[in-house]
Amino acid sequence: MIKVEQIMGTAISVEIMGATPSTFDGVFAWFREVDERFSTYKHGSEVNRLARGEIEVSDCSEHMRFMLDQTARLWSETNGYFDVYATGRLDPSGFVKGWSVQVASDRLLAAGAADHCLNAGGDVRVRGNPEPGQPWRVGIRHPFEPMKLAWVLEGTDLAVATSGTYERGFHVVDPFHGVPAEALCSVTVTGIDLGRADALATAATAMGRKGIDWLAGLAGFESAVVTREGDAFRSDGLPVAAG
Amino acid sequence: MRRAVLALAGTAVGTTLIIATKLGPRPAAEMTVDLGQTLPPGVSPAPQPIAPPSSSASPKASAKAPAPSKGGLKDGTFPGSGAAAGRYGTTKVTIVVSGGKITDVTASYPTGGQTGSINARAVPKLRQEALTAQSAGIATVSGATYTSNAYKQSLQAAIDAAKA
Amino acid sequence: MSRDEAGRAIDERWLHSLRHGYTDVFPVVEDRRSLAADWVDGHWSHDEPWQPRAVTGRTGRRILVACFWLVIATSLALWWVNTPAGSINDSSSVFLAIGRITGMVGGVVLLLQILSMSRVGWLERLIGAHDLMVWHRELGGYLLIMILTHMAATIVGYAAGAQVPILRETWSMVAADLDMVTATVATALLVVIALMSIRMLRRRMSYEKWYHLHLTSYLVVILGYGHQFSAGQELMQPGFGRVFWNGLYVFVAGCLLWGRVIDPLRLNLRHRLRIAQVVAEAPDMVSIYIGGRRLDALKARAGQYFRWRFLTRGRWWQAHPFSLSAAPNGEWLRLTVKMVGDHTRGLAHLREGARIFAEGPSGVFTADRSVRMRALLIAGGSGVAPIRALLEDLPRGTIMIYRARSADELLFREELEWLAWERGAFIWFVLGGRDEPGPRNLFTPKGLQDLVPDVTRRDIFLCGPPSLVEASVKVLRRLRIPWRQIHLDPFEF
Repeated sequence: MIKVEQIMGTAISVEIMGATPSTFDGVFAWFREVDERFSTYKHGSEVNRLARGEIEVSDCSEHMRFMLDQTARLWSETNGYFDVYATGRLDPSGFVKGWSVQVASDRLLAAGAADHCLNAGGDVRVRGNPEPGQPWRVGIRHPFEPMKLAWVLEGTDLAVATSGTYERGFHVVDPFHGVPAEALCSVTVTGIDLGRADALATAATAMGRKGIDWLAGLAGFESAVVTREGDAFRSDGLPVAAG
Repeated sequence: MRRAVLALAGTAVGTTLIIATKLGPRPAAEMTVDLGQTLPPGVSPAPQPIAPPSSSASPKASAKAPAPSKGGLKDGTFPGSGAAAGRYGTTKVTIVVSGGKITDVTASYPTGGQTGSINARAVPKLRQEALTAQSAGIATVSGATYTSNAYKQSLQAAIDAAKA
Repeated sequence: MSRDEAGRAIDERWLHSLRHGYTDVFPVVEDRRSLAADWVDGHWSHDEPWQPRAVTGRTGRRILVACFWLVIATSLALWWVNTPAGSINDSSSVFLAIGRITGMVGGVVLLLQILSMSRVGWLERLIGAHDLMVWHRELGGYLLIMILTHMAATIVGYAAGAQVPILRETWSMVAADLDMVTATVATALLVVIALMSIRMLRRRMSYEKWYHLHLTSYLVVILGYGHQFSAGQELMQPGFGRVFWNGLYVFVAGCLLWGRVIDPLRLNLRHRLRIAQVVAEAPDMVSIYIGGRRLDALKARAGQYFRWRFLTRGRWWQAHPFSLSAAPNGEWLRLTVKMVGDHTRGLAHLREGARIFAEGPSGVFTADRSVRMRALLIAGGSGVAPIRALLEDLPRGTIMIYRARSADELLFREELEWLAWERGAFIWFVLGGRDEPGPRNLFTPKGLQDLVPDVTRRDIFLCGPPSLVEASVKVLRRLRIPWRQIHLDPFEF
């Protein structure tokens, strides 16, 4: 069964095999909670109040402090290319979206809903099987052809995060120059942890061409890249679907 | 209405011509055509009969073979002619086919010149491949973040709608 | 006032203004009376003493056409540059490409339709209201096909690409967001407008209803504007494409504003036209004399028309085209109208001093379009109005043929005879029904040549009911007279 709701300024598609409507309610309630807390478009959100200095870090919720901690580590791991202050104002959306889906997936697994496919605005977390013996098939959107796919992946415990330059309204900014990154049209990172995958994809996009080699050196994550000129690169271990 | 008819005819012709300039080969065919060029002469990519039907499993296996777009390639190792020129210089691409499918592609990069230092590094590299545009049955699409508005005309929306 | 008293009063004024200096109003065609005739190599060294330099506007028209093709080419180039080579490789992408291309072409043609009705001076001068009208009608049908193809191809393309049934895809596209909803409404409106413009259906509606329906085509442009930018692949990203497309819109809007608002306002504020007198010429014909300020600065020529709005209650919102029935003389303007419907019948009751809002002058049925030294005028019914005006503007030796059923139906009899005497013109009155021997023979090559021996070397100015025009054109073409010598003033608007 599948349900789609518009939260966090994007569409969140939740598909859970053999679930009751209340399970869906719980999942969407979580996403709404994340939106209330972390949305930079809501004036009274916790992240905006923190950014304006109305509250101190010590006053923040457990989730906020977790986010600050994780994004600080990611900043260091990516040599400054993943930077929640890159636009000049605290904006953790490059981590929060993926992380919130990861948490939703973990909670669903704990609750016994082991076969599900979650997609929040392009960040995907799949678990289990849609049908017995079949893995989930996840497509990576083609950067130039909106209705086509550049790759088809499959998995039964897979996180797929993609960062790109082809959608209106969301830009990845190079923190060192303050300008939108353009050289890499689409960067996909796969692994187990969607929050980290999301941040790493964002960082690689911000790096531009250098990101290709940097991605190759990441342990525990596979990647696929399309440059602005249409060159495609992928890691050997990318879980490409067999046929 | 003579002018209108002429204009329509002209537009139809013009549209056909201008679309023709952007035509590309079908994604499936692209694979076989490329390999056809790199196969040694005398070898055809025609389907080979699979193992003798001594067990009941093999006809089923052949029936379950993946979509015919990539199938039917002759097993073996096929060195390329070194025509793929990439950013780091001309590379030689060698293709290994087994079980009728491409199982490995190895590229040997040139080591001379300025690009040599990059190539000599012993770090794992991302493999470059041809960017293809596929249409396939999938459960979900991963892509750059889209707005609620952009969602409505996206592939993801079509997939979600088909499942509902 | 009876016809005779009023007529005499008008005649006196009119004759006065004619005798005092009208010959230096618009000396369009030189009137040479003597030339040396040289015999060289067995023939006269000139076959025609001179050729008038005709104002054809051909260069201007060529530039206009070139601009149009440039705009089309640029629009298609936007698609071409935006589409990677080899990216069209299955039915879905073919349909999407067709959808995009027809969208771009349709968008340009839609703007062209609006531009053609903007009444800007340079367009009227270069192409003329009649040709503009013909193109507007034909392009309307073309536009409808383009937009419907655009819609269908895009829907089919997306449906095939996502492997989704077509009806579902249609619904999802149409209801996608506000821009798409309004675009769909715009398309529906366009279909209705186009259907109602088919002659058969148009005749069943009253002119007012049809006119108001057609006005909603502005709504089509407005409602369709948004989706071009929010859903159009070529215009989604900021850059040259957007600037270019918006530039086209700005240009057309500017022309519309100028041609329909600013220019007419200028004209009317400067000249302040009012009715000077209304005179009944015949049971079903009425002449309206119009006075105003600085009429000598009004750049109208004999043969042209204005779109007149009589600013009285119930009449001010309709603008009707009527030709001037006398050459502009700096003193007054005159139009002569045949009463065929409610509106025209009411004109006879207009009062002196009523204000008029005029748009124009329009029309290329003027003496400066002559390509030959002499002219032949053919008039019938109310077509005699611009012909009568032209008679003042054409050189000596002009011949006029006036077709009427009986002598009672002839208009301006005394004026015409006076003009003929004064201007050295000659008038043939051909009276009788269509099937009588005189009129029938008129439209045969021999019959016409008997009346006008050098007809093949004259410019022919034709104005009258469709049957007269058709018969005349037929016989003129039989005489192998080239189209550039034949000038028509179309009645239908």
